[in-house]
Amino acid sequence: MKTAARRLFLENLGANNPVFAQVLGICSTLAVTNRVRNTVVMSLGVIFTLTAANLIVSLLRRHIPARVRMMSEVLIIATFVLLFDILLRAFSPEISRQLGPYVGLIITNCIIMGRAEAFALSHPPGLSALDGLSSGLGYAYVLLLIATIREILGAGTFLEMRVLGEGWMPWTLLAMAPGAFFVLALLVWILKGWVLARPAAEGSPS
Amino acid sequence: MTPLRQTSFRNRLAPVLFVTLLSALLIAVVSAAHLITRPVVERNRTRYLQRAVLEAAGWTVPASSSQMEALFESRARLVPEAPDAPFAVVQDPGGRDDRLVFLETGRGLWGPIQAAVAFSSLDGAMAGIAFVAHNETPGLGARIEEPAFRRQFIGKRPPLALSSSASTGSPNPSEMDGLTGATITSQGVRDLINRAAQRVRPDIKSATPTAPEMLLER
Repeated sequence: MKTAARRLFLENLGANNPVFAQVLGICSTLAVTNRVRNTVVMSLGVIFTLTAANLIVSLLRRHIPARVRMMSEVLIIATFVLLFDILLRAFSPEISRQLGPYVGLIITNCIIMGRAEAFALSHPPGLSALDGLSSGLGYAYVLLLIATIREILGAGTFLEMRVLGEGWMPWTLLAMAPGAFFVLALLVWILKGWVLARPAAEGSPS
Repeated sequence: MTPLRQTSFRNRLAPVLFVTLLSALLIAVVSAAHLITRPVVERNRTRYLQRAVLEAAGWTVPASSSQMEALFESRARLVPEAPDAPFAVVQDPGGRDDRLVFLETGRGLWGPIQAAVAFSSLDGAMAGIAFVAHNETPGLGARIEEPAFRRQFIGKRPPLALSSSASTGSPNPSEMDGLTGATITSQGVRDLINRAAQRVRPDIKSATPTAPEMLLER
């Protein structure tokens, strides 16, 4: 049990990572990674929603009628996203303004629906919450990596503090939407095509 | 009643009941959170409004909310509501002029764009613009909030048209630069500025300097 939980945790960070292995939740990946601060808040929202929704779906898994299970999942997910949105609006209005509609869009983030459907419905609450947490963390660190690259090269700043000298000419392209595609594609290429494919490649003659 | 019909009845009713109960419960949770935080959210909204009014009038607004409120108290005066009356009259940072700040709402891509638009009370030229609330796309339409975009409006004389020139910073006082990738948002901003400008009294617009005191009489 312990080792199963451990393996699940590590797999969600690495081999089964929601962003670069499953390539899910890409819409928000592209949208919020222009600034590290936005990414941190968005990641917190996704981690919170994933963990809480997985926990509740798992607790109710024996009572949810199969025919309305997806509807119930979406309702539960939407509730947690709205709670997060309301808290953000009240206690961190500046970030709430900057993220605009993207917090609400966590509802349709495929990672959350996917984990509820594929994992929480068939596993006990503790393990499901852990699955949500680790998937959220797996999402968060990839996004933070993309955001760090984009903010430093695209604006010359990190967390709004200037890190590259005044003479740095910002790569505006990286701060715009296409820049996110480029960075994400490079990451997926390196991680999925090279790092994750390596053990398999060793066995086969090249 | 046959057992078959009984189960099919239960099969049909159970999901409906379950979803109804679940929805009611979840709605209660969200409503409670909304009601509990409402006073804080309203206070935040008022602060954004005051901040936008000051920024439109040309002030560099302190980040601290209490300092911003103090600045608003001392420099801005709310105008009693009337059809074409400004929302507030704000002293300009140089102290030579009064800025007439109008609240105007325009149509953005995702929803309304609410802005504070300031005009000089001396000659009716635009003194600035700041946005109170909008739902535009971060990185595209939301860039209307950036100072680089807002600065261009200082000294403009609406009605404005979107500049068709490829270079930025048109010297033409009735042209503005839009944002690449945010045409609908740019048009919304243009339209709301033009509507706000129509509310500036014609005697000010005709560039005959008016004594600020006369405006404050209203």
